[in-house]
Amino acid sequence: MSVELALRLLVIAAAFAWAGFRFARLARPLMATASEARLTPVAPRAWGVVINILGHRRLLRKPYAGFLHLFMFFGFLFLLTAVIQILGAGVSPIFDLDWIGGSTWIAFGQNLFALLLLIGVAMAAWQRLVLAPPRFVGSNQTDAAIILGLIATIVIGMLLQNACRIATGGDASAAWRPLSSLIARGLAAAGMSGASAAAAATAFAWIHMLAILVFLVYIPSSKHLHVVVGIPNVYLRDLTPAGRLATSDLEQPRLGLSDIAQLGRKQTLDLYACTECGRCQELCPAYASGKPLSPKKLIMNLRDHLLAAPAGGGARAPLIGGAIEEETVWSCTTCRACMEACPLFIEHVPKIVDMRRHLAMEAASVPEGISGAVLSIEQRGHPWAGTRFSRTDWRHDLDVRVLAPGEKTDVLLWVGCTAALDARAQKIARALVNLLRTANVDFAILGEDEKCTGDVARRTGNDFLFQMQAAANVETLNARSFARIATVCPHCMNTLKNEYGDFGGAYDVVHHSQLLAELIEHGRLPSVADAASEVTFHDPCYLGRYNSEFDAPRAVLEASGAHVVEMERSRERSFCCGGGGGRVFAVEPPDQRVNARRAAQARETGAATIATACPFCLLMLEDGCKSVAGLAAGARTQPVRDIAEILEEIVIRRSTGVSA
Amino acid sequence: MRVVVCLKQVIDPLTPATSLVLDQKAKKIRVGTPAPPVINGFDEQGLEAALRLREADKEAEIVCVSVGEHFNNDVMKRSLAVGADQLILVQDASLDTFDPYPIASALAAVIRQIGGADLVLCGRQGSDWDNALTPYILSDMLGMPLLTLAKRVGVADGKVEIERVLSDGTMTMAATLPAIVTVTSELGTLRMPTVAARLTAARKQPRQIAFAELGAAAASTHPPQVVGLAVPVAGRNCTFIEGADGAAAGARLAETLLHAGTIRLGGER
Ligand code: SF4
Ligand code: SF4
Repeated sequence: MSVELALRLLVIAAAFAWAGFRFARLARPLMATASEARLTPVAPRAWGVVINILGHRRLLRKPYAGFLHLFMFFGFLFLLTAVIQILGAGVSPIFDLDWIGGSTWIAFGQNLFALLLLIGVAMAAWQRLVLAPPRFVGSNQTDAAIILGLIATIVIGMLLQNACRIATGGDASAAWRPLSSLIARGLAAAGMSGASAAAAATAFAWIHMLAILVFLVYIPSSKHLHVVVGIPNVYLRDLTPAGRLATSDLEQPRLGLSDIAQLGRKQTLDLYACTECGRCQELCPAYASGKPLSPKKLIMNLRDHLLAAPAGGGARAPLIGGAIEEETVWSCTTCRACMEACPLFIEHVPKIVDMRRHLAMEAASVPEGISGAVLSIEQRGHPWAGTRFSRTDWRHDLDVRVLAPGEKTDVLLWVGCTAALDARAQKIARALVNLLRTANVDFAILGEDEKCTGDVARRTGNDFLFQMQAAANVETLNARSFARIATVCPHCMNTLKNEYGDFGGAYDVVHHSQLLAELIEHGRLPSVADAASEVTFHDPCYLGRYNSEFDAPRAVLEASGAHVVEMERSRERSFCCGGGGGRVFAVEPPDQRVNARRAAQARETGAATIATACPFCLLMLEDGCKSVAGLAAGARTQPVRDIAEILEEIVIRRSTGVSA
Repeated sequence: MRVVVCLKQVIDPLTPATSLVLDQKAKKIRVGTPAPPVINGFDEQGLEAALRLREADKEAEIVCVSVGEHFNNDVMKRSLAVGADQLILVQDASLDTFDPYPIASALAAVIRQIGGADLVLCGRQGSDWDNALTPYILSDMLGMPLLTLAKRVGVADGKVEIERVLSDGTMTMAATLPAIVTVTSELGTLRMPTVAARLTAARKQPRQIAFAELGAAAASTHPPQVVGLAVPVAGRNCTFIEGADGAAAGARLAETLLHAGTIRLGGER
């Protein structure tokens, strides 16, 4: 055995042992967790891997970053053949891949994909150094530089090794390696040939191999760990409805997340999978408004916290109050922008809500405004403490039927606390009633028997109260007959549709935008053909991102004769109004108001009216507009209106014969 | 140390006026729709004061006492969920009254029957009738000194010391135990219970003491009478205050409120 071979063997064995040790250190806490049983169903899970990993679906939403990743990904994938070749040759002098085309098509592919990889690396370096998008703020930039450097070294080492070998004149694959041959000609012109070329080939082979081994040893502590856990993480993604949070088992001794070891396996894998790409941070309204929350930093901090202490032993610093501040946990609007953007399907919101569950149910530590709303749900069945209305006052002159137990209706109109109890939001309910009357819909309400669905309680961590609300409402609903429920509020829709199943409530639930769009389509409500005014539409998170309904509200607006102009952030990328996750009741620091930012974005479109389809969004945006308009001297506030109010105005105008 | 906290079950003060039903015959206010009552908010603050005292003195025993009628046990048991050791309820139709005398008399009788108290904490007033008289009568009946409007309550060396809220500051007062203290809003709201404590409290039962057993006076000799009840008519009037800039508008706002009598200059009460 030659000395060089022995040395190669030794280096490879040492690197594998070291890498193995480092991977094992990551695997230990992972294997100690409880598995979420997400291995099946295989087909949709595997298909998700195909379109999201091979197809780069989410990554390509950013073309530059997407394509550079695509180049690097496929380059990396194909160059695995080179890794096999060099490590194989490292342990056995007779190893080669020639029998499957190692010196023909594989050689050609290696040349081609090496080029692609280098282009990718160059684009990535340009992105980091020159474009420097703010989404990288807070990411580990040194790590990114090391990784890019290592990849470049691996590829260049390989190309030069091949070129030198070609320069010796004895390489059978020369014809299949156009790029290396080109370099070889340059080397030959510089006088390299024979023994000097062979020596250089050996040297570059070493560089190539060492870079691969360093990479292998390095990745367990790098964001590049995603090359290993990315695929399993996408495969194990949550397939339940986006709007469904897991129901807390209140019998358990521990409620919520206060110790990192309580995280499930996929939830822990999430921490390893994060690439620190910042796509989540870029879209996070809490981060944008200057609050101490970045979904990216949250995941990074949880990961660092997990790895900070040896698994199974030793005391870790506290999770909440240590690794993650309480204020960070409460800053989230649960808007889901982060989860929708994450190329690796990392689940931020369930982790945040789980930490809230600890704070609300075990520590009884809830910020002032939110705790008041939650207490009110418990005491009065609604969060609007201090309202001067009873639940049925809004319809005092409308004579809406209240559905008694045992009675039957086609559409059960679920008014929701805000539309019933807030003076401004009541106008939505009233408009909707007029429209349903016009369309001859058989509908009724629950009146005083309707109680808060518990969305605010659940999303602020009080699953105990949520479960009481759900049980009470399911009992009320199941005592009556209806074909389906139509809700004024997307939060009610989401909860009734996606979360009441655990409590024996299975209903056909639509949001009022969907019902109205359907009535228009069937000709039961009129539609105006010509676009008379410009309206911009704010997508409520719980209608859009959570329940994938983007078109119905726009269809209603168009039927109202509105030309919809889109904000820069709309549909899946919509920017939250700031009111989700119970934050409509939170006390927002004046300089950190999410609603003011969204209102400014809406005003930028120049549209005459700002439309939305959620009472929370309506109140938040109206308030935001007032504060933004107040800042700009002499500014006028656009009206903020629900799509039902806009449509009702048209329908009433038509029926009373007033021209537009 | 035994701390007795007096709690009153009241109609939710946030009940919208449209839901109130006035019983002009019995001179009682009822809630038209089935809405649960609440513990008087000021009394909850008394309980919060007791819980804070127990954080300093782990041995302190907290006994909540409530006298009234038609108790909603789930509502009253919130006191147990946040940490009271015992809840005593005395039910009698005569205790649903505007007259503070029988209420104080029943409270005093309960406190005597359980063997007295080192400290009695009450809210500054009840949010139903707003008389603010029960603690005064109680102090007289128990022969204990009364310190009022505390925003902080501390106990040390057999003495209670409070910070009493004034319109332009605070004053510190002290008394030798046993004593009665009334607390005010500045003390802060009652803490939230944890779920574990709620579940434990749900299994506990309040101790019921029969009114007849107490031998308390049923009514004053010449009780005050409620002559009539009316729901206040709420009106709204919106005025836009304008000014050259924020500061000028703010000054004009202050002036307007001052003229309207909504606010007063510092020092006045
Ligand atoms: S859900 Fe929304 S607010 Fe919460 S972390 Fe994600 S992007 Fe930010
Ligand atoms: S959580 Fe996802 S989107 Fe956010 S930085 Fe990590 S990989 Fe990127």
